[in-house]
Amino acid sequence: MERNPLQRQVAYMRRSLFDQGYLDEQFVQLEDLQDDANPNFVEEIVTLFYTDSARLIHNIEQALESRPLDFIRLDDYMHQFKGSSSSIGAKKVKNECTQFREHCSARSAEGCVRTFQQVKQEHTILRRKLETYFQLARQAGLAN
Amino acid sequence: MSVTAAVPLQFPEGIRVLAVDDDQTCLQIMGRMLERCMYKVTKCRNAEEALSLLREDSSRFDIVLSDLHMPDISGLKLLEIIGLEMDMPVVMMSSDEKRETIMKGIIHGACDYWVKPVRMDAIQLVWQHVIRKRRNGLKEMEHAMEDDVEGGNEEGSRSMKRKKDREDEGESRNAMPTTVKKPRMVWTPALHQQFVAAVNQLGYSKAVPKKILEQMNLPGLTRENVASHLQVMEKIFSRKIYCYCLVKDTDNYSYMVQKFRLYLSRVSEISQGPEKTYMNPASLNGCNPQLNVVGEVPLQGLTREGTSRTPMAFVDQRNLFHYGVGQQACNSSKQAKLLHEVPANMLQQPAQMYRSLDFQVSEGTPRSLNLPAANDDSVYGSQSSFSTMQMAQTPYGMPMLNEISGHQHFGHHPLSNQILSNDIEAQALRTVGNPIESNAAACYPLASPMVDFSKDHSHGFHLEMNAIYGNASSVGQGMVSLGEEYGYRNPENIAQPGNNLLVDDSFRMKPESMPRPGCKSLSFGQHFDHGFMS
Repeated sequence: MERNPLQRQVAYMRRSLFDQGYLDEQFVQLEDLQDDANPNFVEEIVTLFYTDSARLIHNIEQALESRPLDFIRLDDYMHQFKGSSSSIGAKKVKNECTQFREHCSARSAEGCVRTFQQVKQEHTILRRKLETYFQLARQAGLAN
Repeated sequence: MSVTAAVPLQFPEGIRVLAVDDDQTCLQIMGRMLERCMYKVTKCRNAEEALSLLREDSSRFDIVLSDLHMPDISGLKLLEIIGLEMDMPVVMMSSDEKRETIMKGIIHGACDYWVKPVRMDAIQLVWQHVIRKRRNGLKEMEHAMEDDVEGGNEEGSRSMKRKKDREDEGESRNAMPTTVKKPRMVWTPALHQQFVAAVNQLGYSKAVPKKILEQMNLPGLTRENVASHLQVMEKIFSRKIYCYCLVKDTDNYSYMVQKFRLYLSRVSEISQGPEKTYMNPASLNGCNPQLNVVGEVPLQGLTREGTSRTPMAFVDQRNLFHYGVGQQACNSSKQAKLLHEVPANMLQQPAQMYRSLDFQVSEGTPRSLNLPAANDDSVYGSQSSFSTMQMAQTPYGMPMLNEISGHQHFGHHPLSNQILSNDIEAQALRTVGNPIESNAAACYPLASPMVDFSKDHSHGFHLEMNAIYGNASSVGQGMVSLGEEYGYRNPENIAQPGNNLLVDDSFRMKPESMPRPGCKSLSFGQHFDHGFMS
């Protein structure tokens, strides 16, 4: 298939997101839902995810500040967060969520706090990568 | 749109899905996937919204997909409620893959459990659940109705064994009912409709198997067939009421049964003919299914089971008595008659009933009945009263409650919003409006509780029957019609102010949609588009 350099770049970037474990199969499911009628579906969903998750992250942060830690509640938040992340195929984020929940079950405050930092980190990294990716994809599309 | 259980032409395309998830991201993705499969999607962000949509018109949907983990009403609870009220297939979803959670979902009645993230394949195959549920629903009903093969009140090992045999036969039986050992009685929807029509013609209180049989006038049908069918209907229904209440609110159990009894009593009055200010049951529509299925759950039975906690519904007593009211039905003979026909007289606060026996409605001032709070005392207190009452038998062998002879309870409607232990009651009360002094006005209230009832609870019932018969007619509407009809047809018994009750907002009844007198009573399968539910 004849691709212009931009398109090749987009494909490459996409490939590496999967290879490096940032995204999983679920992301492909989203891509499959994109069509002429819904040309920006994936980007819209990802945007929605980040808007929603910002709120969740905020709640978790607050909960992490209270002492003693309410592990049930934290687990609850994280359950939601995990559900959301997995729905867009955010693999690394999802994994960190699982870790966090394990610390909740173990009632390890230190574990929770530490893991949460990792959750946030992965969350942010993915966002940047996806933003770049979508931008590139748009340009490649326009250039067509 | 006319609702039937028929499968759309290009099945599974077009199946109507209600998707419930508080997570926006998941909800949007699911929606898109469903659209991709050409299903018709409605999205809800929470269970309350979903429930109100479903209650408004459950026939709008074929299946519900719900997240398990939701704030306020959880997916499990939603599942339970849907199972009881609507009997619609529900798929549970969750990112929780713990076995216990999945188990819970299935036990609570989910027809499937999906671990998130939801994949397209699962969505594509979701239509199976729609078909499966419909088939199972019909089968269940047939099973339940199978008890009437030998007819009558036979229960016990023989029929159990037969039932088992039948279950073993499973598919084949469904396919070829007549090839089984004995000629089997299959209550097809059409037959059932005739049954229902017959019961309406006769009036509930007169609807004994023998008479129903005569009314139906079908060669080959035996009294036993009819009798057991009747029992089955009552059984199904009362079981559902019971289950429903377990989930919703045990207090509501007695409330709901009472509403039904009240309803029944109303209808039976009506079956007496105009000279007794009763309405021709034939002009009633929609109420039939309820009539058939409500069954007479003995009051004692209720309390014994411990499920009846509230004082018998606040629904005002006027309802009970208007029939008699206009005629000063205070003499005992009439009473006896009325009693027979009004099985559900205890409705109101039994405590009230039995304490203030000489409470007469015609006495001017409205009194707010002091409804005992939803405490057991009144219920149990009245228990003893009940036991001292004569227990007439309904045609179906279930005890009816009689008024304490010599007294009738003409209560003013229990206006105040008091002590009602639940919203529905309160709501019904509000609709009752102002105290009414005239007897006639007393007739009104039937409408109100019925209306409210059907708004809130009868959905459960009518939907139940709908589920069973695959018919989306709103029985609840029928109940309203009953009220409307009653109100409108007996102007001599209805005071002007009373009339206004019907116009209460909360009713949402449309006079023009009332059944015309003398119109054929609608059978179960018909739609009651009286706009009640609009």
